[in-house]
Amino acid sequence: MASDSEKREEKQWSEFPEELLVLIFKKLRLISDCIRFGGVCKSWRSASQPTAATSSLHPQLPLLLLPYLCFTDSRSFFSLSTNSIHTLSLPNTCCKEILASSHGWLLLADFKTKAISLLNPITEAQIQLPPLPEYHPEIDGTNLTTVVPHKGVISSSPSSAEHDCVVITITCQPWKSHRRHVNFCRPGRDEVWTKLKTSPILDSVVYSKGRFYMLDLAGVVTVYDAVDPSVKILSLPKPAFALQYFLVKASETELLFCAYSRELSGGMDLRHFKMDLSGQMLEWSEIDGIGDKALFLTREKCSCSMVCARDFPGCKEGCVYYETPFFDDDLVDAFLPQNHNIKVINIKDGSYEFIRCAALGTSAKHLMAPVWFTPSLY
Amino acid sequence: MMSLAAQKEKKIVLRSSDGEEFEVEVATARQSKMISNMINDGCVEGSIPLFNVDARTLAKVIEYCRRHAGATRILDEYDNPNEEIKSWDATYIDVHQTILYDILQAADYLEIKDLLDLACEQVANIIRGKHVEEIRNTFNIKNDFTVEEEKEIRKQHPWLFE
Repeated sequence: MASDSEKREEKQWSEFPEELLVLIFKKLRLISDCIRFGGVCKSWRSASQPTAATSSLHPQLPLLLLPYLCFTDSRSFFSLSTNSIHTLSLPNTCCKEILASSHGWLLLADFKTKAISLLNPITEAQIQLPPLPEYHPEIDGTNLTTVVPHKGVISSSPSSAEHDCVVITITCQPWKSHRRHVNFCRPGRDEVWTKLKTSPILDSVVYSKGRFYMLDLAGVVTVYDAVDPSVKILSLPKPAFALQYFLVKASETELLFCAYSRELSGGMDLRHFKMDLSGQMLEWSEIDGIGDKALFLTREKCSCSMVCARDFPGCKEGCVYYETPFFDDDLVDAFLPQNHNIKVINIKDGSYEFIRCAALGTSAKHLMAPVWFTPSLY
Repeated sequence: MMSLAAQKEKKIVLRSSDGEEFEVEVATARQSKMISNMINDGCVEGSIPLFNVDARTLAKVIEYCRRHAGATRILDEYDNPNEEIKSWDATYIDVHQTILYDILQAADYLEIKDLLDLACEQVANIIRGKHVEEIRNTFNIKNDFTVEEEKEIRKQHPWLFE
């Protein structure tokens, strides 16, 4: 009997049928668990490799890629689930500014070569994009058409089988009162960027099913068709007046419009509107909140995402996780931005709290804007 | 079609790989899609031999099936049967890794989807948050990577191996 149970102990889990290992792997939610699973032994590694069976990875809780020094290759990530910072050496991000972050990919603009590229920092996969028109290696004071990248958008994973990814860059023209320009290209399909008509005060863009939804700083959303980008489909006036507006792709068929203001009492006034993209009429209708979801926003770069809060212990539903460089209602802290915080705002009553995530040190003013980063193995 | 009461009365005999026989209610046996198909095809005369499941595992699996078939469940005593069965499941599956291993294989072989799901979730729960070395110790797995392979994996995701 003893020898029998010993034998049982010995052959155990490394010889477990692969299809069952895959089932177990698919139950893991956090990407860190998924990667560790593949580091256990050869058979477990093989069960964790990306195949049709495992490509439906669970949605991940975004990490905050903290403000960074552009000319180093060190990037720090703050994890809400472990309340700790992980610092990675990512040579492929050295001297590159992060313009956008979504679906596990970063959109990067190289300061030196002016090349635009996509990078998945987890798998180290890279995709080069065409050179951006008017983005020159030297900013020439005499050339007034010169632009600098401001931010960008990655519509879906560029490695997905559908090949429907669209990358958008928003540039500004420093010599023309920072006028905004928008270009888009489809990785692996287009050899040049296509320019879109746009408002000079453009703020952000969402791409969904062949259409561009462009939000300007005044809250107006203008819709263009990707097939003929010269024709404007319509303009939607802002549904509410606020100090700040955000446009979020809640799903492939639904847009979320956020209108946020500070109240005199010190609380936040958060209003949300949705638009059904598959409906007959494109119009905003006010909604009560975001239900059991949590919304992640950044002020400067495009990296918003939404997750079901229930999937992640400690993640609060009906809340906005807003990255903020300092206590923006605390003047003392505002002048000394040595700490980086996440502001967690409850949509229902506008109350908020801070999660202090990093001490930035004295070089804070040289740091590049942070983004939310949702790790992905694909 | 047999009435539910008649089904409950009728018993089926399952024989484990080590020769032990278990008499179970039809509703309990039908939790297994494999056995359910056999019943539908009318090939359950005598006892059903299960070559891949030993007596210890079979007893444990029958315990699950009986509970989920409602054979031993007293619904009315609880306000929320769903919560109740969830907590029963949690206690049921809180077993040593060797038993979990056998339950997984038996649930897969007998096609008991909910039990397979529960057991996979339990293994995932054990793995969650553990470092690679801890996972190996827990499941008694030998590191079979070559030094080079191990280096490569650690290089890719250094923060996970801290």
